[in-house]
Amino acid sequence: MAIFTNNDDGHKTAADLHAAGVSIAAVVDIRQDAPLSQEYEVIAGGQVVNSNGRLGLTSIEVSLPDGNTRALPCGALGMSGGWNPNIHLTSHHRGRPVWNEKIAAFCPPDNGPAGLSVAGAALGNFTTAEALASGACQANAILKDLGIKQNKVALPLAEDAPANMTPFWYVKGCSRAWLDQQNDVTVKDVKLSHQENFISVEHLKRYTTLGMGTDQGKTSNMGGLAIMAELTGKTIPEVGTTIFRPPYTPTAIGAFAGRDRGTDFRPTRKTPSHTWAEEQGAVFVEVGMWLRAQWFPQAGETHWRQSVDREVLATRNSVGICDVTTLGKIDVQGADAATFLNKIYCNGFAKLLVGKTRYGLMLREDGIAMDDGTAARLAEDHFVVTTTTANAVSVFRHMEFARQCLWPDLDVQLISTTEAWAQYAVAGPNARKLLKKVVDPEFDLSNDAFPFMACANITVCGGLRARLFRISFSGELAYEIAVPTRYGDAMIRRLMQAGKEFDAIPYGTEALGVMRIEKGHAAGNELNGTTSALNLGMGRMVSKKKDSIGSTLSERSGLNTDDALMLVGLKPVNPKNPVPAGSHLMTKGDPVDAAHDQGYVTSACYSPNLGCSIALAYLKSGDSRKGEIMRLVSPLTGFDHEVEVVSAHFIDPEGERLRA
Amino acid sequence: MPTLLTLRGNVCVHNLSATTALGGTEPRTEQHGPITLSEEPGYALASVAARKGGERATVLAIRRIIGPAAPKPNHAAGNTVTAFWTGPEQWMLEAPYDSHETLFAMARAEVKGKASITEQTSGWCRFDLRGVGLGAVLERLCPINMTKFQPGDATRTSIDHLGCFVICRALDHISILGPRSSAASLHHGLLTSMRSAY
Repeated sequence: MAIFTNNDDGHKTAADLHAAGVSIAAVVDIRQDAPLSQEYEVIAGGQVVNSNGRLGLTSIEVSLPDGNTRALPCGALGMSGGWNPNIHLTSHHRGRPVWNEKIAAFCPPDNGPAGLSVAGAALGNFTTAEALASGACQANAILKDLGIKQNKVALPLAEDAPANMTPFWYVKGCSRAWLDQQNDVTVKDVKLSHQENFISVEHLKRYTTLGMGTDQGKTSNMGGLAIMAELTGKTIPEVGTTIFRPPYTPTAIGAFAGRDRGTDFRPTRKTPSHTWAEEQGAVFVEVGMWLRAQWFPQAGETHWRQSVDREVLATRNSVGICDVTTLGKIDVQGADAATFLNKIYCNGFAKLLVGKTRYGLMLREDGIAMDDGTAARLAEDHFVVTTTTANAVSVFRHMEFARQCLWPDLDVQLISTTEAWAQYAVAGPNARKLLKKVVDPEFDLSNDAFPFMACANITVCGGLRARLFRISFSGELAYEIAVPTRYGDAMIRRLMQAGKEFDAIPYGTEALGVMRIEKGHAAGNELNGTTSALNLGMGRMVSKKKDSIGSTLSERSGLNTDDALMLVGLKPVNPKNPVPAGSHLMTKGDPVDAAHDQGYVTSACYSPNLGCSIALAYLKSGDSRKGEIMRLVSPLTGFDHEVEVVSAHFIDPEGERLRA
Repeated sequence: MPTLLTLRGNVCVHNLSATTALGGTEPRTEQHGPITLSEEPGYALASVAARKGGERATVLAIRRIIGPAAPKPNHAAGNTVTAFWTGPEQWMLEAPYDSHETLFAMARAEVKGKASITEQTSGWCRFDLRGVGLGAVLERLCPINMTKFQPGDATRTSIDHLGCFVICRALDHISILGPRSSAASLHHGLLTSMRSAY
């Protein structure tokens, strides 16, 4: 280890290290009259001018007083430019530091902040004897202020050697001389700051980041100020200081983190079927903070695709069950509940009949799609709104803002009920038959009595209150059934038991994703914060008979160009090829570059029903390009294959299944 | 559309078994040092939010339901059925589940359309801390000034990133209501703090 210093304390460090068994390569002291040592070499009047080693220090180069340079092998280099009083607390309380020429450092002022007494090294008294005397003196002054009698205390004898040092700010002539090692600021950066006329210390700090953050001027400020003083021809006190603040001693970052580490970093949300899903060996994925079952592997399945394909086919052929509790549920009540939703959603809700559910699209104020979901009207003055899992909190916040700030005169009350109800999707041609075994017999589930988009308060399993919605994300005949969360575990077990005769299976989020792509339903990938209702193929849904958030700005010409992106489906021309998400569409014969880009793939999957990969994509003028063969490319991965533009509704485009 | 249910007395008749928020069939209880932490599934909850112009009627209805006057901000009040303040013109009603499973229906009948009532029973998990020296546990978890937290005080705070209600029932008895899906995380946080404090 080598030490580079301009003061006697650098030598004390070397002596301590030597005593602890560390081999000292040399002490390099800029002073010609540096104290010498019997134990190790001291290079008086030397300077460290360079260092070598890529992943660790291997040697330093030292310029000697005679002008020669010497290489010195070492594994570490300690540097000390002397002491600065710890003035952070004074400075934090707006005590303006004063320059002390004797120790070449800033000290707390005599008339500092009221009620703040500074003693010892923080005042610039660096020897132990000075520090003890100054501490006793200040303590007595405080006691006197408080009217407490002072006791004479004999101070212990202590070391009182003066802190000999010669100010030395940086090694001249180096290509890169670091000033602030925490923020990677070099002497050159300070010179550049000066050259760009950022001369004031406040500008210097912000231009270079010198002394910011954890450093707070402790190691770097003096050097930076000295260089600026040199460049501007001022003295250091004329240049002045910025305000630096505590923490004035290092605080381990672990102390800030506390117990918030690893799995304790944030809460985990579990669905009511979690224990049951674990018993089935489900593979979970974190969505928001929820753990959702991604798929349910069965014996013999070695690849996730086998599980997912099976779940999709079993649902489309008979019936599947999926925990959809994680979707946000917002209870909207009040005399103006319908008026309120009519303003929140871009499509109409005022005339929705009691006992009916409607798909709703929310726009941001700038006309871009924000979230989608359903609203079920349980009474004239009572709706239940669903949101996507990821946006449950932000949509609730948005609605609360609208209620409190935009339309405070409306009579509307909102409360989240996401956690209060366990909700299961029951989907597939046998969904009704299965539900009939669970729903109490007085409720008629026939297509006439409870058609597509119906909703009702019902009872299940002999009298438990429940809510039933006939809505479908998968495109199948499907229902969502909700029971109080404490019965969620019992409900999934009952549904699976009742579904045995239909070979009912549980399906996870992957199968859910495949089925919604097959059906052409938009999800987070399509509502990606850059797309409008028009892009989603729902342009006509934005009602012009009323005002709603985002309706006006969705009419901006830039969002309504003739070649606007439209949601389409893609199929590979060679069914063996994938259709990877993120790939871009190019017109055949056009060069592959950004200027000729025609669109991009948002969602992709393997469809076990079609026997090939399929995708949803945004394509310029996509609605008039069905049947066109295009190039799908990914220059990054070298992917380049032909795809056919098709309808986004791969399965049941007429919607016969979900109305069955 | 009325909420339908088959009642025998005040209890729903059906053949499903409930699980607690921690996923068991029986509530969990832990003891550490002088403190007992218990899972309390035996309470029904219903939110009350006054409608426009129904503010006065709502306050009166709450008094009819709980006995004393509707609690002011940061307070709870009541006997068998209690209420705590949750926001401007908003309260949560709480009552023993076995006798008041349909608390929301009772409240809805009482407010006569002057307030919106929502069943919240299964939306929350409730943990009770009992023992002398609860301040040492709570002050590690949330910014409530425990030296001034008296019986009848109720407040909303954040505990391990979870929005929770904290209600002082007695000097040696505090209830914490948190989101049900995160019951295990909240329980872990409370236990960790108990072990840190004692």
